[in-house]
Amino acid sequence: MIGLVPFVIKNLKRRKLRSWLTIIGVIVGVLAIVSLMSLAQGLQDSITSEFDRMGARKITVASKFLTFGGASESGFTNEDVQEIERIFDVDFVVPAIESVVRINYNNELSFINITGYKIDNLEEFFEQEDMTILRGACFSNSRSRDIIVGYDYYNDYENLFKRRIDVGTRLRLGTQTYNVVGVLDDTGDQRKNRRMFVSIENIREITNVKEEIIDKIYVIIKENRDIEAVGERIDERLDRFRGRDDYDVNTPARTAEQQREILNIVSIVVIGIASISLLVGGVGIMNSMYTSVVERKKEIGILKAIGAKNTDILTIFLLEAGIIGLIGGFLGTLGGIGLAISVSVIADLLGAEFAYSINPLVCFFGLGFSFLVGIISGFLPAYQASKHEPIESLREE
Amino acid sequence: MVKKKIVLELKDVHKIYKMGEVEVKALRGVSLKIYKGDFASIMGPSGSGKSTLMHIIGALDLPTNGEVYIDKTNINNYTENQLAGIRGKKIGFVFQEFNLIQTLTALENVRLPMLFQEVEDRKCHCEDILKSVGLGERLDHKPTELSGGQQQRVAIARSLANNPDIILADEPSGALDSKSSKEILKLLYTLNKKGKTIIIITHDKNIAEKTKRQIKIKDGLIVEDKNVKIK
Ligand SMILES: Nc1ncnc2c1ncn2[C@@H]1O[C@H](COP(=O)(O)OP(=O)(O)OP(=O)(O)O)[C@@H](O)[C@H]1O
Ligand SMILES: [Mg+2]
Repeated sequence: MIGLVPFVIKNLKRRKLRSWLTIIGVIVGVLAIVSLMSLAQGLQDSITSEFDRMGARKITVASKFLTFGGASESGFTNEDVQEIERIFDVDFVVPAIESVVRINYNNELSFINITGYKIDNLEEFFEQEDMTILRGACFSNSRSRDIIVGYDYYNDYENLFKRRIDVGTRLRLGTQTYNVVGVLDDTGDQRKNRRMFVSIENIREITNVKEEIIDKIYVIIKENRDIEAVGERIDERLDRFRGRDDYDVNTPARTAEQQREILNIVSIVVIGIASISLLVGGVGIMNSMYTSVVERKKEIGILKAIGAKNTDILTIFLLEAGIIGLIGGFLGTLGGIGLAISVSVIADLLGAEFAYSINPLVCFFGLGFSFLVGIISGFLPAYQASKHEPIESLREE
Repeated sequence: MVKKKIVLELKDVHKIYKMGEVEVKALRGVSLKIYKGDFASIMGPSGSGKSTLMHIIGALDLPTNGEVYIDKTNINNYTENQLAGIRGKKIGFVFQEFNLIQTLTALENVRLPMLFQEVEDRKCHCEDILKSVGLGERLDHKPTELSGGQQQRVAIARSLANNPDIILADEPSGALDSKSSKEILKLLYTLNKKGKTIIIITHDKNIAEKTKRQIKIKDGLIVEDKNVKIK
């Protein structure tokens, strides 16, 4: 049977372009499956690593709606913050505002992601977040125009600015000039490495927001407490206090649950698309195999005359169909990996986290599955070919 | 005289083609013994049943009635796969229209029959065979790059790949000019001298006259079977 492979490959080489178009369905189907599985695996990994980080003590309270620069209707107030601080198990709370601002560094203009923190307890919060000051120091007071920059502005600045940003560098944000007081060490998280940080009072000034609205409340709980239980408590309190459920309390387990739910919906959609594509691809392969069997009737007769058994003919056509599927699967796997990477990169640019993880098993699965789709689609035509009567086939012109 | 070995025998073979209501009796009781080393021609007018006879001799088809023995073994009840095995191992076909696989080179065409045999049988000296038919320089040529005579020699080389006892040639020079035709016949004659049993089917008297055993068929019956000395 192995001996037939070169012959089969020759047969594939002479196929017309049109017959190759039929594998697009297989490509799309496998692409969908591989990208989905890579993203699901990435999510699983990040959830696991989140839980692995010992002593996870952070709960994030954020609006359900997109807030921007503290200007949202559904933002939080200082009273909300105080309400949370009153909970016994809460160690401290860091209110924050996130925004995108225009920056001018040495006459180079750019937009950057920026976070403004209430600076009380900030050093301890940074510690919790694995954000270590590499150079310089943390904010000393909330009124002076001090800024801390992520690691990339110091280390990988080539992609961002012409010149390195270091302690003492002056940056223009809005109409004010800021002085870099600190550089963060590598956090391993690109979104943090490319962020800048100021005090919450300053970010309100930069973005020109007068009201004391807060985007996010980071809650750090006391050590050795049940973080999920504390999350519940915060939820109940805010519910009573605010009287509307327009916010999310994100504990590690809840975040994981949310991401899983999203992934489940996406999975159903993707699996639907994949099944339809594979079906279309399979029918396409079957069709082109039927055509090929008709076109090569004479050849089948010749092969039988020189000793090919029915099983040999069956094998030849099955291998052809299988390899067509395999090629589709190969392209689909490459495309799927590409798509997973793109989704992750785009999510990253949008400030969301969507890790991917490429599992060789998933790739093998993609290839094996497409080979199988090819073989199944090719079975009926191949069987028909194997049953051709030698004399009748030979008479064909 | 030493008794010669029978490689193939037909006993009262009938072949009836049914086309709806109509029955065509292509063979009407053919009995025939082919001996090892025969260089035979089967000659007859168009429609006399030559191709039908060749299909039965070559195990491509089974008779409606009568028995077929190849190497003393009755093949009447053979399965399709067993018949394929017989064709692959014991018989080499040469067709009027060459029937080479167009996408394969000369050498690949010659190797092809081996692919369908068990691994231990794969001892084809295909290049040597092609050299012996005078195509040592044309190994990697596709059929379209070869003349008719050359293509037919590739086909003969292919029929030799599995070293069969019998070569069956249906109008082997029917599509060739007289010069190539003579060369092909000479090639078959050489093979016969090396011990191959050769059966040529033809309606050309000039070709039949060059064979040692001349069988004539008419209306599905053998009407003459004689051995002659050839110069
Ligand atoms: N598959 C078939 N179905 C019906 N009739 C057939 C079939 N094959 C052959 N015949 C008939 O059987 C008879 C013998 O045909 P065959 O092909 O054996 O003749 P032939 O001697 O080879 O002729 P030619 O020299 O023209 O090739 C003819 O009458 C032909 O029409
Ligand atoms: Mg004929």
